[in-house]
Amino acid sequence: MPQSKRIIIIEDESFIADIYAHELTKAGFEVRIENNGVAGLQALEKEQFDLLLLDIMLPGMHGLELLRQWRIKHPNSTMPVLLLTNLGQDEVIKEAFALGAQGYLIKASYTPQQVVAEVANALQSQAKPNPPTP
Amino acid sequence: MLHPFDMVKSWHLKLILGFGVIIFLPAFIISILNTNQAILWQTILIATPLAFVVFLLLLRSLKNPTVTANSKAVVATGSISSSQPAPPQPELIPSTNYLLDGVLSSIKDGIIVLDTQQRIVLANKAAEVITGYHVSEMTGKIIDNLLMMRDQSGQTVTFKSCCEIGQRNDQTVGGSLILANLIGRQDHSTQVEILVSRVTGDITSELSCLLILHDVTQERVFKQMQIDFVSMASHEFRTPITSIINYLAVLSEETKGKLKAQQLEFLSRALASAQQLSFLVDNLLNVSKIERGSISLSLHSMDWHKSLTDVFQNHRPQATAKNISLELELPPSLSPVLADDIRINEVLNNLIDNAINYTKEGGKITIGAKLSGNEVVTYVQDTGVGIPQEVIPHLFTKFFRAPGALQQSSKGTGLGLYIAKSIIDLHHGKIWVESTLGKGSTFYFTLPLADNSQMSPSIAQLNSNFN
Repeated sequence: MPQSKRIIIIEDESFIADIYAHELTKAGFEVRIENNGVAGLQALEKEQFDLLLLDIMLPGMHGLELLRQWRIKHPNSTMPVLLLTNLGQDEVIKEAFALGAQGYLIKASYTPQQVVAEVANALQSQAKPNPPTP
Repeated sequence: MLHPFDMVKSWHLKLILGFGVIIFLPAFIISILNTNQAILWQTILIATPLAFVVFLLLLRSLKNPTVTANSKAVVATGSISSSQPAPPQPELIPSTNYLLDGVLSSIKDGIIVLDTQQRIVLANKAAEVITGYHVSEMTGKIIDNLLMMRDQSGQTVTFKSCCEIGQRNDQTVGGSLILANLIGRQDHSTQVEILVSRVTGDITSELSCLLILHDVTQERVFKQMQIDFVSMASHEFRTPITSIINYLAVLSEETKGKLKAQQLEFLSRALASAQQLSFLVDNLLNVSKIERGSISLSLHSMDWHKSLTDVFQNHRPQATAKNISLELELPPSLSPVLADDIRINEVLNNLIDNAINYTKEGGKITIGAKLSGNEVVTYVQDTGVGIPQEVIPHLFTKFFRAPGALQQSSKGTGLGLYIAKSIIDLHHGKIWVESTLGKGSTFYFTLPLADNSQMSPSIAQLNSNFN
């Protein structure tokens, strides 16, 4: 199990962000929460993180726009990005993967424990995106 | 409205009328000028019966409009090659019933009647609005030379072929319904539902086809708004569902050993219910995607033998819990199929869940597959309650739930088979059911072989028909 890896969660719903942070902390990760897109992008610019858990419907900046700007500024970044959203439209999923996301998780279909498992997998493989749950 | 004299169509009637006027009028004038009573009475005796006969003939012609052997009920011009004899120049059917004219003008749907040569013989006001052509511009024209029609896939369809379909289906109440883009004047396009039916009655010798054009443009706008609403509503529903599932899942794990078994069971049930709610929202969103035409497939070659074996194993606990025998019936090997593994597993899971749902304890369910030409036929057979024959045509429609002895305990939204059919259609397969009430049902679906498929192993998309 990964130890002391830094995870940033950009999620505006505090209930949801808190429970993911709770489980990830239990699993040994260091967790940072930002609840809007602008603050989230600033945090990514200023600090180093090992993985990004990113919501899409965010105040301040849309999640995919945040990802787009991050990719433009850091085209060589190998930080895994897992979208964590309740948007299920196919075109949104396609755009997320086109922007280099490694995973697309529908929040309502994953328990926090399963999200932690996905985070661990992504960190270990830093690769294969999981198919989205429709 | 026609002039009264025009109502008298035949030439001999006009002659009699003129004769009567010529005889009666001068006689009357003479009788006034001539004070001789004898001449006056003679004039009256001659003119009166003559006028009466003329009156009777006029009355008869008003009641029964005459189309003589020399006049045609249909205008037929069209395009004529120079080597062919010129067609007769017929006349329009006179609209003697102006009550019917008023009704036709008031109908919001376009009405077009064609003759046996596909020429337009009648069109109403609404047809003018839809096509962009005035009635006078349409009348007599071969419809396929004037208007174009594209079906849902963008293919051009002729009205002639539609009329042939309408005539073949003439026993069907309401005729044949076609959804299409109608291209009229200056390439103006209108989304319409076209009801095609055969003209019946005494005038079938000349007329053949009736088209009713229903403009669905506004309806589709409203429908799109509803679809967008469902998409956003699904997202909004998922937010609190996520919180419920998340906290219940964590609580269930963290309170093990601290709560009584019954309390843990309560938590487990609450979590299962929240996950069921999430599944229902997923279904609604899937339906929304299907109706918007934006559902995508990621097709690749699948080891169908392995897939069915995995699904069989996954459902064994569920079947065992209900004391239902679950069996697998496969040949030693199966050719790979071309499918989207996630979507096709949704179909399999739905069919097997339904079979378990509608089969009583002690029953039997068989999952099987066999090669059939260029496709694999997969089936889920049960010994359940069966489905009434009259219900079967509606089974794959939205929100339909088949009646059954276990209905009260069955779950579902009535969307499962609708979604299953949509997914199978997207795979260019077929899905159908055979059932005997009280004995059981067998659901079949086909998938193309991966080697012989016409589809490339890439993203297939159900495109919206009206972009």
